[in-house]
Amino acid sequence: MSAKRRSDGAGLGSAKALLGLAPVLIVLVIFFAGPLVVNVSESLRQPNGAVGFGQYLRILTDSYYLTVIGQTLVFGVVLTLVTAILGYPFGYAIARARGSVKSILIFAIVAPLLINVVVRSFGWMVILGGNGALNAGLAALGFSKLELIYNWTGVSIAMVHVLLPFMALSVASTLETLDLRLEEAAGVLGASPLRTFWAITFPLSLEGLVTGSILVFCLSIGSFVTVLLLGKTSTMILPLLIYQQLTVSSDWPFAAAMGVVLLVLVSMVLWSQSFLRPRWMRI
Amino acid sequence: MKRIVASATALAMLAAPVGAWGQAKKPDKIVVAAYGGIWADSVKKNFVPCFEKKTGVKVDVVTGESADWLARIRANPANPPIDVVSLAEADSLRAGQDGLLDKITVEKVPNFADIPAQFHKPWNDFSVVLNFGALGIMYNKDVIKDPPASWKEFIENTAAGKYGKRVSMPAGTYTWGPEFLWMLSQQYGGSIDQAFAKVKAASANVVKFWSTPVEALNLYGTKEVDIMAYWDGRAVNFIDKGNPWTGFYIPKPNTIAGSVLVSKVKNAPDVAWEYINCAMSPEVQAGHSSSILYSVSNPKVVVADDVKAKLTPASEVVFPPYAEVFPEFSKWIERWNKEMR
Repeated sequence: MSAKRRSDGAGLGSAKALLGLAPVLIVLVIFFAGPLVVNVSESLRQPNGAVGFGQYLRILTDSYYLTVIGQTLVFGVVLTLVTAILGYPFGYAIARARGSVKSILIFAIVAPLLINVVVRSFGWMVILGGNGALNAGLAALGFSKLELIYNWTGVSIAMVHVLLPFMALSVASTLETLDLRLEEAAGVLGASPLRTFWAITFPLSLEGLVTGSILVFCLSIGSFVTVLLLGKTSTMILPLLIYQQLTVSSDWPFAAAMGVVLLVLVSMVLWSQSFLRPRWMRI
Repeated sequence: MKRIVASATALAMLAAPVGAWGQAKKPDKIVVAAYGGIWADSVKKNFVPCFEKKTGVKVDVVTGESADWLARIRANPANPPIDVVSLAEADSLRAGQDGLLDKITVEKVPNFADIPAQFHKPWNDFSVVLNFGALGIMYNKDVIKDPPASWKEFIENTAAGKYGKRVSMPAGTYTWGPEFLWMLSQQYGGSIDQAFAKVKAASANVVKFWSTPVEALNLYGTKEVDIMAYWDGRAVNFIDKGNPWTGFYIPKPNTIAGSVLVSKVKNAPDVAWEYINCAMSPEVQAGHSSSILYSVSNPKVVVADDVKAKLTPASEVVFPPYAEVFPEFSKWIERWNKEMR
C-alpha cells in the first residue's frame, strides 16, 4: 500500500514523518550539501578572479587529464571485478561456516582494515619490493625476480587486499538470508550442485554482489595513499592529482574542479549500474 | 523583577568593558602550531618555558600540517584559531601576500636583528626561518667508492648508469620537489628545461622518485638503492643508529633547504610577538637545534661540538627567490606529471 493511497493522510507525506526526518536532513544539509556547494563555488574561481568554467575546460581539453580520468575509471572497474571474483568464494565460505570457523574467517578478511593505510602500504613495499620477502624467496628457489612494485600490479594487489572484506561480507550477508531449503529442493529434483549454484544460489546472491561492487568501486576511485606509495608517476589517478594540487601547488580551484569531475563520474557509474540489476530488483 | 533586571543590566554594563579590556591586554593562552613528533617535543621543551616565564601566558601546542593550518586561518581571519603558525615556504609566502600575517620588525621582535636576510627576505619579513634541513647525498660506502662531488655529477652519472638502477631522489611532486627542480636548474644556468631533460635522462636508473622521506628511507634501508638525495638530519640520524656503512654529505656548490618558518597571524594577541622573540633567541634556538639535530637561523647560536658536526652551516644553503619562482611551481608539477610518465 503506497503512502499516497492512504486516506487518513498519514504516511511519508505527513508532518510527523517529516519531523522525524528533520535531524538527518539538517545533518545532510550542513555536512554534505554545504561543503559540496562550497566546493563547486571554489571550482568556478579563475586565476584572474572571474567566475567561470575555466578550471573545467583545463581538465576536459587536456589529453593528459582525460587519460588520468580514464585510468581512474578503469582502475575502479578492474578492482571491482577482481574483488568480485576473489571475494565471492570467501563470502560463500563465511555464510556457510559456523561457530569459531566463521569468526576466524571474518577476522582474517577484516584484519587489513585494522591497520592504518600508510603502515599497510609500507608492509607491502617490504613484501613486494625488488629485495623484498617475495623476491628473496623466489631467488632462493632459483626463479627470476618479479616486478611487483611501482606499477599497477603492486598497487592493485595492495588495494584488493584491503577491499576484499567489503565484497566478501556483502556477499556473505546476502547468502546468509538464503533459505537452504531452496538448494535442498533443487537437489531433490535432480539438479547437480553446480546447476543448483548457477540456477538458484547465484541469482539470489546478486544483491550482495552489487552492494559489494558499489562499495569497492567508490572506495577504490577515492583512495590515493596506496597509489602514491606503491605506484609511480605513470600510475596516476584523479584523487592523487587532487591531493597534489591541495598540498604542493595549493591550486584550490583546480582541485575543486577535479573533485567535482570525480563526483560526477562516480554518480554516473552508480546510476548506470542500476540498469545492470534484474528487473525484479529495481526499486 | 524590575530590580533584578536593572541590577543585572548594570552589572553586565560594568563587566563588558572590563572583559574587553582584559582581552585586549592579555589572553590567558596563545595557540601555537607545530609539526608533530620531535618538533612538537622540542617546542614544548625549549620554546614554551621561555615564553611562559616571560609573560605568564600559557601555550596551547597544536600539531598538524601546513595546508591544514592555512585553511583554518583563512576560514576565520578576524579571530584566528592559531596565533603563531609554522607554515611551509609556499604557504608562508601566500599567507603573507594575502594579508593573513603580521610583518615582523625589530621593534616588535628584538632578536630579529640577529637573523640573516636570507632567512626572511624571500617572505618579505612576514615569516622567518626557525630551523632548516638541507638536502644532501646519502650513499652506501661499501658499494660506491667515489660519490659525485656536485649535483651536476650526481644527475649526469645517474643518467650514464654509473650507479646502476639503484638511485633515488625526490619527486617533483613532493612538498619540496619544485625547489629540488629549481636547484637543478641552477646547475644549468637557470634553465628549467635543461633540469627536466636531465632528470628525464636519469629516470631510467631511478628505482622510484620518493614522495615522502619515510618512503625514501625504506628504499635505502632495504638496499633497493645505493645512493639517494635525502635530508641531512634524517640521514645523520640513520647513520647514528648503527649504520656506519652509510655516508652523507652536501654536494657542491650548495643546496636547498626545507625550512620550518614561524609567523604571527594577523589579529592574534600582541603577546604572541614575545613567543617569536623567544623562538629567535640564541639560547632557545641552541636548545632546539640540539633536540632536533637540525641547523637553526640565528648565527649567534652555540651548540656542543658533536652536535655542530652534524649540522649543515647556513652558508651552504640557498633559498629560491620565492616571489619570482613560486608562480612557476604549479606548472612544473603539471609538467612533471606529464613528462615523467
